[in-house]
Amino acid sequence: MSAVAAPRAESLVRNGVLSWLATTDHKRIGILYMGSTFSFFLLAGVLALAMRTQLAQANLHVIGAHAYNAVFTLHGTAMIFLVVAPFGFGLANYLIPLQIGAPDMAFPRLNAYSFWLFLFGGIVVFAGAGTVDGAAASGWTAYAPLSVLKIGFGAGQDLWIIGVMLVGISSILTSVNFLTTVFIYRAPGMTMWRIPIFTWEMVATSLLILMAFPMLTAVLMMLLVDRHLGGHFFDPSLGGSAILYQHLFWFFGHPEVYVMILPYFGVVTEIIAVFSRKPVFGYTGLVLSTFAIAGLSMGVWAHHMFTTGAVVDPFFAALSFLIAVPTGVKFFNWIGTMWKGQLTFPAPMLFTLGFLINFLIGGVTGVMLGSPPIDFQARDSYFLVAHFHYVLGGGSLFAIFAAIYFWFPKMFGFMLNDRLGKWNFWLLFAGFNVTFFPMHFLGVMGMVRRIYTYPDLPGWSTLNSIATAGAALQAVAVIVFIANVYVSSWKRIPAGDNPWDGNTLEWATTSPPPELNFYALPPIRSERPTFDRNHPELAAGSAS
Amino acid sequence: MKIGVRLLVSSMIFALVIASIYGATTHDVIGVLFLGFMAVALIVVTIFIVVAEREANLAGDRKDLSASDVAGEDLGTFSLESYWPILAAAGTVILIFGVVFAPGVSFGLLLAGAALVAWTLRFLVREST
Repeated sequence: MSAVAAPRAESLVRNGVLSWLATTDHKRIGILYMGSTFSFFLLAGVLALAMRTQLAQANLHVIGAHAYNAVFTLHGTAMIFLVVAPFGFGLANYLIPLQIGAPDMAFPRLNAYSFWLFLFGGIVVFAGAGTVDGAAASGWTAYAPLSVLKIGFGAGQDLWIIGVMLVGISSILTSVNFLTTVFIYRAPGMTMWRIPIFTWEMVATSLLILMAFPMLTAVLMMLLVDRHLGGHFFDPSLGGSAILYQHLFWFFGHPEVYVMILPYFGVVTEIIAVFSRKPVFGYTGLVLSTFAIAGLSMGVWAHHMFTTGAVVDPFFAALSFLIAVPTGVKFFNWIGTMWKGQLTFPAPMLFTLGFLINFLIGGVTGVMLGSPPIDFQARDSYFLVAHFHYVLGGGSLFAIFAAIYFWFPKMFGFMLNDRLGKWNFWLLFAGFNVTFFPMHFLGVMGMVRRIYTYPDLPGWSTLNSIATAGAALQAVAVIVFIANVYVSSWKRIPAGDNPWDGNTLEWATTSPPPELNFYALPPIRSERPTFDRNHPELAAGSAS
Repeated sequence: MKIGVRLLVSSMIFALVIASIYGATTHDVIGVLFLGFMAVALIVVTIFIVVAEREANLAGDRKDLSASDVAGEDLGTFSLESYWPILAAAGTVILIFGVVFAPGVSFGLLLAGAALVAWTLRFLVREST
């Protein structure tokens, strides 16, 4: 154990709400991100319940058609831009400096600026609901020329564009911060081949954001020009091209899918290694497969456009299939890590296993949809809805819960209740699959997405009722989670510095960590320095 | 660090190759431009990292170094609190609102500008002392 190099702290030393508004500490900003995303998650969940209530039976009219459009637009926008991706940023904000032995992010004030832009952007998106025409109602993709129309798509659509643009700019700035921190601020001995897999995943994610998100800003600017400055980029009736919008949007949109999943590949890798009591199997393979996925993801944007007839389907189908190879490598490595390990199954590990099962189902249906003949049949059907919810809900969302249960003790210094955590898992796992598995059948039976009601066709009402019951079960699971946080905060069972006997550097400091993170750092001689310090007989390079 | 550079260069080559294949098979200008810009962006990031590495001589790249070997080394000042980021963010939001809805441009520009100036001045004053 040795002392760290000396950073100087600059603090106004204030407590209370003001200190949170002014904070530039990466740990507090990480917690702010995660708290905000959880609030948006609750809002998105309420919207999802409204949708499922409307669809529970045929010919229901709980909410009207336009309101339904606004509800699914806000639900999708919130989950994609305000929950799944930014929770990863929050977690990375908290963990990256700790995992690489740095005192803070490279640009602390820029970090705070990014967070506030994100939060204000999210609020602006939802503020559209208070306008005369209501919130944006053109879907989370805001396809033109629908989103160019002003009748029925008024200030709410403008606020959506502004809000998402702010969130996009925030993501770009955050990525610059992550990359600079990882490349420049690693502790002595923490070479690139020793940084934890989660940090590697965030490096790849940040690069993806730098490549893809400027396109989002550009396309939204063009949309504003069309709406307010007399532009005709996307309106075919005035010489514009709706297909151009789709190209530009999906240049951003498909890499965004990987921005929403790569951080969680990192989360499950860390958790599987700890609860298997083994080092990560195939560390190098995991890193390279991440970059293969990231690279390929930049070349598959038009598989979202097969049915337009305006793209070369075989090129995009071939690249889409190829992504399954590095993803398969990851599954192989995760199984290899668990193989002959001393497995234990506390709540974080259960959520991780839930991730593996759900993501596998979503991945398999993704390969199916990568085939143009199948995509032509399933496009815009509930089969597609089931697919992406299995990837981003069953995948990312389960990993989010796994991450919360795993790192909560480090962040707050006390444990979450494991029994309630297991209830949380089983209710969510059952609820999720009851909700989304029947949607595969609904899609095959011909039910299209984004319809607010449907006729009483054979089997449709039954399957939709089952899906709605599953959604209610998921709501109960979230309530159990909130109850767990409340009960655990009340009991406050101390976590200690390293409650899971973790491998990486964040477990070598106190829980919660002090300002500037470390009083002392262990020598870093492998990718799991804390394990090496706590188990010298098994440490990398030890004689035994 | 070398591995970081290698990965970025590999990604850049991948982007160039895929852009060529895409261009040859589809003749679609939009996609070729997109993939080409991606390669250019990767070149910029790679150059940044190479320059940063040369200037920084990073302790993190040295396998056998420990924290004790650099004990006392000044890592610079890390701000723990500042009100300027939240004010700059509020100013940015008002500014963009102003661009779309007309009123508020001046106020947003003023607020964001003032916050950014104060933010930068604080940095400059601190660095000179």
